[in-house]
Amino acid sequence: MLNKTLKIVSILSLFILNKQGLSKDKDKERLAGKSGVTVSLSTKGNDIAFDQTSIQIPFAENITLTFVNQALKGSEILHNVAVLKPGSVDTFLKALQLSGYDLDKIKNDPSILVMTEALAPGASQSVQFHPSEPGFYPFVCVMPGHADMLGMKGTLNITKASKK
Amino acid sequence: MKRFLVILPLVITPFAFAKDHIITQKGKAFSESEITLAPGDNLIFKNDDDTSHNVFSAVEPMKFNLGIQKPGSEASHKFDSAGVAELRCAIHPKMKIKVTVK
Ligand SMILES: [Cu+2]
Ligand SMILES: [Cu+2]
Repeated sequence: MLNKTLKIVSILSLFILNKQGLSKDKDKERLAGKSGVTVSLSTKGNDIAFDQTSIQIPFAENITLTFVNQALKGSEILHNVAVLKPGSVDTFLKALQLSGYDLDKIKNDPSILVMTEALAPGASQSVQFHPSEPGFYPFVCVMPGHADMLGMKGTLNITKASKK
Repeated sequence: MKRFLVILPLVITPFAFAKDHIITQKGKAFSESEITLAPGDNLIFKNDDDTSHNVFSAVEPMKFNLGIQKPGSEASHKFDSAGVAELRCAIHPKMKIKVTVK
């Protein structure tokens, strides 16, 4: 009896925690809208390339990055974006090759600050990350060959926020 | 002397006759999952799909990129030195073929 009650309680609390998790995410979104910084990135049309390779933004604790795969619908080509810790792009790309470009294997790589899913043509996703300080944050597409062979990568230059 | 004459063609043969090997791309897959070549051999990639492919190898010393390959077209790459490479398609993440040159 006690066991059953415990089970029910633990299931219930899981449910509640989940809900809290969701509303926390919503709060973050709201925060980013007010005090955070937003960045828009897309593919360069149907090319295996980003539309920007150098982006400058002021430092903020919450940065929302929206990525759009603008490849033609029939092209089937997937893209994504991973924001990396400063200075980690070479190490990361080696690890990516060693993983066989396996998104599941690479997603826990310590170099990654945030990463979108692999997005189909026309799809988009917004992700949030929280840089600890200003700096040059590399971003790459982890699809096979895109960053390491075809140069689908760039740098997010997060500058010191101007003091008012 | 006679013996020498017999052996000589055997030594020269692998260099004189580099082979062409054909790999077909159909149904978003390579026709083989692995292939073994001799140094100097060519791999010819035929695109029998109605979608483009882009074969590449990202790791030195066999780094190369065939670029976007339209439906119905052919592209080839010559493998000069011994080694192992995993070739992939930049458009279809599941396509791969292991090439051993020895
Ligand atoms: Cu990409
Ligand atoms: Cu392909």
